[in-house]
Amino acid sequence: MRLTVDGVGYRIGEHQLLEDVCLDVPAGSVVGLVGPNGSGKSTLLRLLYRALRPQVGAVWLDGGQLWKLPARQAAQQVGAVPQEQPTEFEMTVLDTVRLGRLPHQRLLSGERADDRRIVTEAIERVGLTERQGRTLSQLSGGERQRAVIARALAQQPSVLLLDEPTNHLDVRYQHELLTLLGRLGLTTLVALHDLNLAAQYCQQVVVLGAGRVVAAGPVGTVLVPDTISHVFGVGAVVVRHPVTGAPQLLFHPCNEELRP
Amino acid sequence: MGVRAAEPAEAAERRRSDAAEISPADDLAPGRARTVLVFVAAVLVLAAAVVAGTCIGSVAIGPGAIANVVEYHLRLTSARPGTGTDAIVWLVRVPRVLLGVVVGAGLAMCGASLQAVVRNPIADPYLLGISSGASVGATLVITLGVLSSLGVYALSAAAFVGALSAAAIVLVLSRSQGSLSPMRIILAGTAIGYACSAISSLLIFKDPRAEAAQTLLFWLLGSLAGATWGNLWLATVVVVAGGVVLWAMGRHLNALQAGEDTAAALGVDVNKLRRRLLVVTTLMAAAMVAVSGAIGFVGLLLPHAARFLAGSDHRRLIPLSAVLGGAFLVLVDIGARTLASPEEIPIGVITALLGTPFFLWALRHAGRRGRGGV
Repeated sequence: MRLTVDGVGYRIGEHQLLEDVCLDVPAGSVVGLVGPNGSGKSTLLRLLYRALRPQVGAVWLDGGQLWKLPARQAAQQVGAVPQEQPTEFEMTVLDTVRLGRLPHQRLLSGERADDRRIVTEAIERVGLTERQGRTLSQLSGGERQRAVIARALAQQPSVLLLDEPTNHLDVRYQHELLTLLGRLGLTTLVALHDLNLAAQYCQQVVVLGAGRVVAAGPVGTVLVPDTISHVFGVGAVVVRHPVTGAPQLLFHPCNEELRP
Repeated sequence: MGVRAAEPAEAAERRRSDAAEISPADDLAPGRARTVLVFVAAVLVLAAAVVAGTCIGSVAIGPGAIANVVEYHLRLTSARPGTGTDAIVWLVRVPRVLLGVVVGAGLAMCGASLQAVVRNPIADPYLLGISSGASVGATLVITLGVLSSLGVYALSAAAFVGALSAAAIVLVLSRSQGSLSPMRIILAGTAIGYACSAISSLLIFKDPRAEAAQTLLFWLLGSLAGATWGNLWLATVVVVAGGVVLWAMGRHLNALQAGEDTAAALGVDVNKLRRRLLVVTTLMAAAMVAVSGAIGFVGLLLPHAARFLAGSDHRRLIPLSAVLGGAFLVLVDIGARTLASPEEIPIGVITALLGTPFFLWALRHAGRRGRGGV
């Protein structure tokens, strides 16, 4: 399923958080959403997983408008991994992932064998089968993030949205997680802090700056020194990763005098 | 669930064999067996509490005599019990014990739900200023004789109206740009609570009669002494209806507990859900405050005990809180009636005295095991 954002805007009072945002995530591809702090990445994702309603513009899933669907139906198509503090109340991995079945269940219905199978599969998919009885606080950061991804997978969505899923993770888990995303085969839009992770794991990248799309397209054409210095205020040199061949960035301060 | 083609063949093979070994039903079985066990034990404790509560009192009455009275009134036997025993059991103890079950269950369910609604473990059924609103209503009756035309129902009616008014004000104050933020709910509830307390205190302070303060205090700390079949039915209908709604919303409560954004992404209309849950719990709590005063601690504590025993899935948590809350309040009421006999101790005093050490123990225990809600 293809996700298209068409001229979306959102403001709170005087603050224009997003303005005329257009982007396109082709079916089954992983698109990275990058930009400095406060550029509107989280706000944009929240408009897509329906935590906020866009004030202008439209969001399309193939030929249908996301915001015209009933909330439950939308959640059957779009799964999300928001940036959210876990609750004070301890939930086990199993209970967390079972939540993902919510959009498929009726108010009074029990849990069907189908639901159980899908939950078990989702937990397996992220490799947490042996830890499903643990509470989230008993897991490592990487495992916790995977549990939340399993919850989104249990929704059986066609589109997956992730808000900085690699935050606070060790290098190894960052790479594990993004490898997993690549294997899922879902239409994926992932906000990333780390430009090099985006360059390595995303087919396309969208750069947000001050609530607008500054550049979008294949990694090689978007993550170039001019765009980087303009949006992030830092100088960059592009090199090839000697092992993977992906473009990678080396950063330096913009100020010429600081260069050695 | 996505395309698996990219996965190495051996991993897929391993997964298939795992899936054959662990069927989904077996997978969930250990937790389920434990939950069933916990429920059976809790129901047994509740049953024992109800029997004990009917037997124990200023006059001890044996279970056989109790059974006779109950059977006689349910028309299961024609053997007429002694008049004195009949009056004590049927008109005083049975309604009182059953009211304890209903109010205890209702408070615990409200507490469990509200803790998820505002994602705060110290939320209790009186979060929206319900107890202090009720106290203003009750004080107006006691000091100024408001609603005196309603006779014995004046106190309950005034408390109910006072509770609902306070909650309505809190809800209006907590709205910001069409949404209800937990932080605003908690702050507005606290502010209105103080304002209402000030009003009650002023009214009592201005009243020349010493017993006015005493009446209010006793009522504020809660008591099941006012139980009659009439107010028992009323409370039962409200608590059962509200409890069914809360249980049906159990999975939505789970989503809310996980966080606003998570709930939204799972297809939950967060604001609408919060509003509905607040209205349901407010009606329940106001009805309970009207019949039994503001009994503290049950609604705060028992949900945590239930979480500790069965985890924080509200489909389990709501019913388990109800059973534990009912059992707890009946047991505590036995103490309230007998410890200082012939005087009665306000039930809120005992819930707090018993509750605090238990709460602290559970807190330590939960911390060590890393399980449970606190």
